Amino acid sequence: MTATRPNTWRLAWQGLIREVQNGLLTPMLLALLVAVSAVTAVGFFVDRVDGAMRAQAAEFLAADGRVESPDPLGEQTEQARALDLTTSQQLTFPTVVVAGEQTLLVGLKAVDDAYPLRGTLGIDNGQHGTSTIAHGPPPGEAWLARRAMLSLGIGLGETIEVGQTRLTVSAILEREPDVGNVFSQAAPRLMIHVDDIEATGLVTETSRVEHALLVASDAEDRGRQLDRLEKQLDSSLNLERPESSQPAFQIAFDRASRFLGLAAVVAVLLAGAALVIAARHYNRVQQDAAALMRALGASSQVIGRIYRSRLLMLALLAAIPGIAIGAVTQLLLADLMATMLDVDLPAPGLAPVGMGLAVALVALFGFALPSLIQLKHTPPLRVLNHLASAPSPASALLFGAGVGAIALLIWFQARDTRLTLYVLAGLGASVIVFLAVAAGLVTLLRRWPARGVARFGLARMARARWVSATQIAALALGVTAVLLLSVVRNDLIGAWERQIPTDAPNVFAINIQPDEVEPLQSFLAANDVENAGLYPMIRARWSELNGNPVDFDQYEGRAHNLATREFNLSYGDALPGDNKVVKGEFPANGFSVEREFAETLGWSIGDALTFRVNGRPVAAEITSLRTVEWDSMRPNFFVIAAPQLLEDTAAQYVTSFYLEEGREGFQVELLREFPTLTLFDVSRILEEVRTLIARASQAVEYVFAFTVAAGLVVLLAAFGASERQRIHDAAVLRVMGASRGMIFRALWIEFLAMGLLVGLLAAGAAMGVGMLLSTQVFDLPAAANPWLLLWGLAAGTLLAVLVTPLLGRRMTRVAPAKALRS
Amino acid sequence: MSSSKPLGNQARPVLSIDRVTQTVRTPEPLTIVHEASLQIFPGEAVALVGPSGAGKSTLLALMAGLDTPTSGHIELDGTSLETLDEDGRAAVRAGKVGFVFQSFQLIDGLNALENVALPLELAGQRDAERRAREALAEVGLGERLRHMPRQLSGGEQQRVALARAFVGEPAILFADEPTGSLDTATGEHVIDLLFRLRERHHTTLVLVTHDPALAARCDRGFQVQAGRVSDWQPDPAALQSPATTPSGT
Repeated sequence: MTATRPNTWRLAWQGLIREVQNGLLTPMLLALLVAVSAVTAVGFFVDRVDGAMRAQAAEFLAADGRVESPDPLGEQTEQARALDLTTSQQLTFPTVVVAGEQTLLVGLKAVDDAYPLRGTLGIDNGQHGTSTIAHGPPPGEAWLARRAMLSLGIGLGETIEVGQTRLTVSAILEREPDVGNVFSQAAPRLMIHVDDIEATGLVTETSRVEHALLVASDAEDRGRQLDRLEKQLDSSLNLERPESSQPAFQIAFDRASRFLGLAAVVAVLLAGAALVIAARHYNRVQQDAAALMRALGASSQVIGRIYRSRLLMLALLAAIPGIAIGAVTQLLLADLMATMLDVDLPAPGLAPVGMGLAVALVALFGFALPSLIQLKHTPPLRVLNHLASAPSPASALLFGAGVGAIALLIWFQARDTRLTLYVLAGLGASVIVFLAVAAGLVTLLRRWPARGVARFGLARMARARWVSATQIAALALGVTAVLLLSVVRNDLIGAWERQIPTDAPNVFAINIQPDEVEPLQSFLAANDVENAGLYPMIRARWSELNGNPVDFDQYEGRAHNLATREFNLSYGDALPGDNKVVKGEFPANGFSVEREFAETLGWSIGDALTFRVNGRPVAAEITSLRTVEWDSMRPNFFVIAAPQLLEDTAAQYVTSFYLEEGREGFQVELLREFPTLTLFDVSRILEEVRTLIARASQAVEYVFAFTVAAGLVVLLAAFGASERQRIHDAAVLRVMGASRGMIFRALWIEFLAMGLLVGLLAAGAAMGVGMLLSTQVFDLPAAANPWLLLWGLAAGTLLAVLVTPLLGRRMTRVAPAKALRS
Repeated sequence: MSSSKPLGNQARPVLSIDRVTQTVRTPEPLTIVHEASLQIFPGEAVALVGPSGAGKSTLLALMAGLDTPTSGHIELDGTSLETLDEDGRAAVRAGKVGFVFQSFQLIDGLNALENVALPLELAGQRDAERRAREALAEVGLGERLRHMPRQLSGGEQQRVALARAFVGEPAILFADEPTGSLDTATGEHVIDLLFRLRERHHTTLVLVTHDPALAARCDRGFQVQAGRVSDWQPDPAALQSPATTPSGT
């Protein structure tokens, strides 16, 4: 006979197959299956929705990335091409066009044949109304904004003089994808082909021209291509990405991702809770086998290897069908989503497959291994004496592995440190509170002088205080998750929707002269148009920090762009409606700065800033920091000065107002009355944000199905673990003459009491976590929903309604003699 | 009485315990085995008799290396058990010890063949399955290889356990109330088989029982009474009386 190392893989596999067949591993397998399916489905789905959202966001840039500079970007274009990026170049500058006797200041944009790389333009060429087109004007032609055509008094087919050349106006430019910053575009748009620029003679070395390089790629690793380009760029240049091009859109995008991430995380964490319970049960059941193997001479290492290998196999056994279920589910979700919202979702990447596998391994090894690894310490004496058992895993090990796994799993999903920490803290606090309160209530029950069936029903709960408390805590966690995702989700999305109400301003008006402020307000009021307030706006450049000239070279990327560009300063002693002072005093005698802007430039309260305004210095200290709701569509400013600093300076005013659908004609009336005004219609951006909210809400609802499934697995694990003991106890009672009805009644009492406890705890936790999430993670106002208590109690009762008949039937189905023998 | 005879005090004992004491905290200190000393020689069949709770099973656990004594010395086939850690004792058990338990101790998830092959697999033996088949054939279960424990009767399960105990050719076999879970007739059948196998494999047997008829089949015995061990001589007359079904210790 030949002795080698024992084949632990074979032994692990033998046990695994039989334990799957006889149902011992079913709760663990199902928990893993749900976790992997949820993560993979959400992964695939988010990947695709994310792709679709990015594609839409890219339309605001007309590209996947955009670099702007006062200097030509030839070198950068070559760098982008070398990285296999598609490129397009454009020039913008203000100029005057002439049509007959009329002249008009326009914002000229010269584009090449590749423009736009993303999105489309809307033009009216006089034939079919407004049509969508995927390229700019050909050489020799010009597309002009309707407002400019009205001002010039020309029609289609007529010519205009642009510098030294004449171009034919072949279409009215209704819409362009990359509108840019509304405040920087003061004049109506003229779009021409870049080949005509030379003939205009307008661009010389000294011209104030803004050059832009647009880049795009259809490659899977587009993000990395852009990262590489960004690294190669000079520090004074910034590569703008779609998600940062529109603050309102970016906020909506972030919130949508967080909602989805949170939904998936909750499903996975519930599966984790089920795994912890199921693994503890599996540990108890496996101790006899482990003890026997030890008695037969297996070393602790061999036992450890057998159970580790078995877990690894279990992970694979769950991951493969889990990934398949995830893939099929996301197909259904994507199909529903595409039909409902009329969008084409791009194909998903393969990353979610890897994530599904990783989740199976992390969940199993984090939640189940600490319990199972203790089997290797099962005393062999257990084969003779059942009181000898494996030591309980060290609390530190259980806690450490669990927290580590949870942190990793949340990070996989949300990629958000703050969210990870909040969920961890919320979860930890909830579990501790659940356990403490549940144990306290169970102790009270023990002292309650119940009689008859009620006493037996409550006795089980009271007998094993910590087992019952753990069971209640796990179930409360499950119900909390379900409440959070059903009720609190609606609250959060409701608050978000309220923040961008249907009557949010959708038109900005700039270039308002001081003497037009009062007439404009009267005109708007006379036409039933409510404005968001008129604010002075003064152009300025930042020149000194704390008395020293600004060293712009120390700023990189976005900070450099912000520091060097023209500031739009405002002044006033009233805080704009949606602003909140978070530090310092407003208005005081200095500047009030938006908090994140100050952080980007490294400014803090007390720093002395000097701006050049019309050639003269305006200096003061920063006296307050504010938060601003950029998605409110009201005029907002990074820097607001105390009135005495700027009120003597010539300013133009800005406002925004809401114009209902169908009142577009009012804009023409307004311009007729105030010809120097410039209007910007932002209703399209608002529409996109609202669509995003609707999508996020819908997607979370789908993901919610996995949470419910995970909750059911927790239920299965919690009651599966005690089923054998319950069947035995019921058999003893029946031998002593208890009827099936009595056993059912006792069960009803036990589960109703447990369900109500669970509901109560879950409602409280959902309320707390919901408020924490809304204020700290989603930046929304806090609001407690009193209905949660009712929903929690209803969920607890439902728990009893679901479990009692099922478990009762199983407990009374087996003949007492057979149950006792087994 | 078995035909196997002790080889006498001149032979080296396969198992020797010297002033072994086992005390547990429950929570007051409780001495279960008190200063026990005995020697068992190769080929012997030795009975440990005594009433329930006397400490028989605890003594068996100490002798087999399943537990460590509070004090005293235990030597199994030349190896001092108290000097070894648990894994060291496991290695000794793997090579030299076989077990038969009152409650059979078969693994529910494994079939008869896999249960019997288990000790060989754990010892890394390559021909485990062939030898397990032979062992099952030897106990008359050659046709029930793929049956799961729950598909077998109590007597059949104990025969599988016997096959598992002998398959590794152990130097010493510990049997703890092997008929405790069986009816009288089945119990007798299993005991006949146990003694036949022991003779065929020349295995030393330590049998824990409180059935005098069963103890009488051994060469000699020890009485365990309140943790103290004394010599006990089996009564051949007990062999004539019907065996009882003990309830175990």
